[in-house]
Amino acid sequence: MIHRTTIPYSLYACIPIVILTLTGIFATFGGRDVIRGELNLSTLTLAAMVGITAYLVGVQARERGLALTVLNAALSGLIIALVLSALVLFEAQNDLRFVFQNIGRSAGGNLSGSVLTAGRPINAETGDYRGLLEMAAFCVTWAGFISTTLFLPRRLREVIFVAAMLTLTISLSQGQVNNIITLPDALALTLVLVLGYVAAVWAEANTGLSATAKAGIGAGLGLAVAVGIWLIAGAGGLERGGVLYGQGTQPVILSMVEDSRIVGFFIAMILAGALGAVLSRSSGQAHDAFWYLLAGLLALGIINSQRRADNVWIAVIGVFSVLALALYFVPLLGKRAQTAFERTPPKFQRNAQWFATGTAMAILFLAPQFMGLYVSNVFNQIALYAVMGIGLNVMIGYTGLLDLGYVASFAIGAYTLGVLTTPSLVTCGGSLPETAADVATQCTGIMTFWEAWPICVLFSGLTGTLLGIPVLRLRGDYLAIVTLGFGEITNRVILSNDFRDLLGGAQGIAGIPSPVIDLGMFNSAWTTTLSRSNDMYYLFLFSVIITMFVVYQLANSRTGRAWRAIKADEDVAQAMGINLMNNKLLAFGVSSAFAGLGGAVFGASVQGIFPRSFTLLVSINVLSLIIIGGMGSIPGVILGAFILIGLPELLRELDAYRLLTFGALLVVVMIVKPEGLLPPKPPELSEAGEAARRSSNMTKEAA
Amino acid sequence: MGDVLLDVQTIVKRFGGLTAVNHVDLQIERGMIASLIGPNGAGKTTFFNCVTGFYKPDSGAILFEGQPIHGLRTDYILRSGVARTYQNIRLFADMTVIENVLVGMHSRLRSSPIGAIFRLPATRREEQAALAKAMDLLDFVGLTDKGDLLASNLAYGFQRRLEIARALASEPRLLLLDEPTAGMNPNETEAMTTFIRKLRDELDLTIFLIEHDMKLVMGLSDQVSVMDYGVKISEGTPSHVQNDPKVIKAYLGTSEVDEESGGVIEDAELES
Repeated sequence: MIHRTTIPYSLYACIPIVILTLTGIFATFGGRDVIRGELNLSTLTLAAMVGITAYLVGVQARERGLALTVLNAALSGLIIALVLSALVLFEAQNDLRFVFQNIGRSAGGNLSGSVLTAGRPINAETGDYRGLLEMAAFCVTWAGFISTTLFLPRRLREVIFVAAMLTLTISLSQGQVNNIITLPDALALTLVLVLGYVAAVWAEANTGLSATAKAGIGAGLGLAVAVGIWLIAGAGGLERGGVLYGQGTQPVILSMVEDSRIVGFFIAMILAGALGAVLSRSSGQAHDAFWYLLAGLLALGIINSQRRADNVWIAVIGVFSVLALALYFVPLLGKRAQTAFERTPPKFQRNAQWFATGTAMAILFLAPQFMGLYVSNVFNQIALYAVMGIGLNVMIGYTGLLDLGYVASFAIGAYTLGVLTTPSLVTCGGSLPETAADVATQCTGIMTFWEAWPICVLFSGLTGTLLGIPVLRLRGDYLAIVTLGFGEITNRVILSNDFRDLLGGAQGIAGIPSPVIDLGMFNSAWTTTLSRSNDMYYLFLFSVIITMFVVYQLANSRTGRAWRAIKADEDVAQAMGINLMNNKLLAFGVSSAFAGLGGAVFGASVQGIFPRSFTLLVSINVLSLIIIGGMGSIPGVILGAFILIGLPELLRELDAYRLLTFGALLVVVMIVKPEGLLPPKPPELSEAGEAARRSSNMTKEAA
Repeated sequence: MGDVLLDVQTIVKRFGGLTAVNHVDLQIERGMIASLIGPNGAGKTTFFNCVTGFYKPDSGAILFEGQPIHGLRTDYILRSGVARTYQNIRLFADMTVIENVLVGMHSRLRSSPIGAIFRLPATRREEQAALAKAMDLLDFVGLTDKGDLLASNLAYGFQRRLEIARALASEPRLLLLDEPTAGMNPNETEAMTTFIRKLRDELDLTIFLIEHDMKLVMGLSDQVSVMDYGVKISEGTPSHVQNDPKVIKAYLGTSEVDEESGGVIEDAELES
């Protein structure tokens, strides 16, 4: 009847739930709505905890049939509810706030009135315990319900779970991602892409048109839709209340039709149509990526219109449906596209790849114009950590050298920039003017950002290499401890008074000038100061691309092979002729150079650097995102940066619990997927090898 | 006396109170297949480790092609032309079969990190040539079509062959094989015997191997050396060694000499 794991699992699950309760997470989350007025974060957290438990219990009991599975799951819900009720009642009698300060505040026991009592204060005197009963009823039904999903087909279940999680994430981010795209914009883009796609698929089946002609058809359809929108806009469709006007927000892309940007609008639509047609036979990856991006934009558009909708559930269900449909159908269509792609001539394949890459670059390039300052800033943070993650991965993921003092190189890069570009005693002839304004007008730094940037990279790389020399013989844990020490030493040095004149001591270096793109020699108007975050975005984007490029090229070369051989077996690697010292020092140097690159851009973007930005936590963050994303995998690190740096920005409430969540996430990833979420794929070299052999044989015969 | 390729002169290796290799002299001529046998713990692998630079001998000298190599780092010794395999297979498990071979070629390639970043023409040509050579080597050892598998996913016998291919990739003149047939069944052992002979004949290699399989040793070797308790107790042609009373004593642990010769050692073949 009752599976032997049900009761232990439920009791294990109670441990984190009780800890979260006592540390006040429910109280903190109570104030944050996930779905406006309908669902707040604390309910969601409780539901997630109960749901995960029910799922795990259900998996164990599944073979015994639906009824017993639901019974076991419901029992687990009941056990959790009982433990929580006991906690609530105990807390009502004994004030625990002297130990657990964040437990929350309300009359009649501090947990009373929270989600644990269904928001209804309990009252011991009148015997009003309805809140607890409601909570228990919720736990039991919810647990039972979750366990029934185990009997859905596996793929369907995955689609539902992932779509639900993404829906909640997007809903949570609602406040931050407002106005990225409006619903009419998203719908117009979707329409054009789908039209181009469907037309190309139809032409594929019914006509003998060439691939280029199909792209032409897609472009034509895009043009037709654009003309339609132009006509509707001319008839007042873009005015308030018009067909093209969203829920109270002026469309961004569609509005281009009304002014001088109309040419851009037409080009965008035509390209979108052509892209749709090309996607019907393009490599599976490109296909899926673009459709997921579109689904994401559509979901954001819907969420954006939710703010003024009367019934918030319509938007939530809309987002969920869009995402679920995308998750269900895109991989299937992607496989078909891949098959079609492989049949196309190589020339078309190359062109299609260039087209897809170009479009992706264009989207990345134009994105900040739509994102707004806050979202750009989040992206910049993600990019900074991606640069450092990819850099540190050279040491940890490829070479297997555990470095816990990575922040040292980051700090060295940032401080080098600060010293070189900021007005100081040196550049002001021995005495600084009294006010900051005077400093700005009367002094300049030794050099501009662009001159200083490569120096920062080289200097970080050099110091990283030098730090590597004494620790070359250390392995594993010992290396970790020593590098940890380096990180701390760097922090002490920049804080110390001995270098105060140069590094600013505890005050750091303020007033780092923003990078200026000065093309004044071509046209006096072409001078831009990169001060706002959506301008700095380009610098971050450039840094990520350059880091990815260099590390990718190195990883797939003689050097990269040497690194990975060292990681696998240092002694054998040396016995295979690999010079350990050179290759390890190179790994130290490359890794540190990218930390320096990131540090310099970081310093320029925040326009001032302070010792407290360079703590052990930076090293830990970078290490965590590598572990979560995948050791030795560039896409993995980028995903890790999105998860560890991007998500917390959406969940500002979690900030106090950031390390707690990091820890939990690390534990889960290490247990469930120890190689990381996107582990590196081994390179497939046979085909290239065969080709190389053929061509070398041909040369031999010719000679 | 022919052309001596490897000349080991009275080397000694001690670990604390234990003398693992005690004043051992050994010469191997170019083009030979030489074997080193002895009971477990006789110091054979320690001897290999001294030759390949994993251990530094406490005294004595090792000359390879007349040049001293004792005390050098393993990577220098490999570069001078001595490659080896390991008793417990030590492949780079997370790398593909081709990559393992390419790592073997590391010392013969020149391309620099800068060349790799910008994919300079010289680097690209070198990589292409290396890839083509790696494919040839995989064909040679019988790993055709397995190039993209992870080394750890190969079957045991193939892992042994890959280890040899990796060693061959470094273009050695002397190849040291540490128990190449350990854990193989009679058929696989037979195939390995043929393969080792093919290595010598087709690649002009000199081969020095540690083996417990007496049939293989006796059938293959031009010269057999026997070690026991760190000391070389016998050396010569297979038939000479098989009839040496000291060898029989070392294997059977008795002073009685069984005059029926050859079969004795074969039967005493050790479990590993």
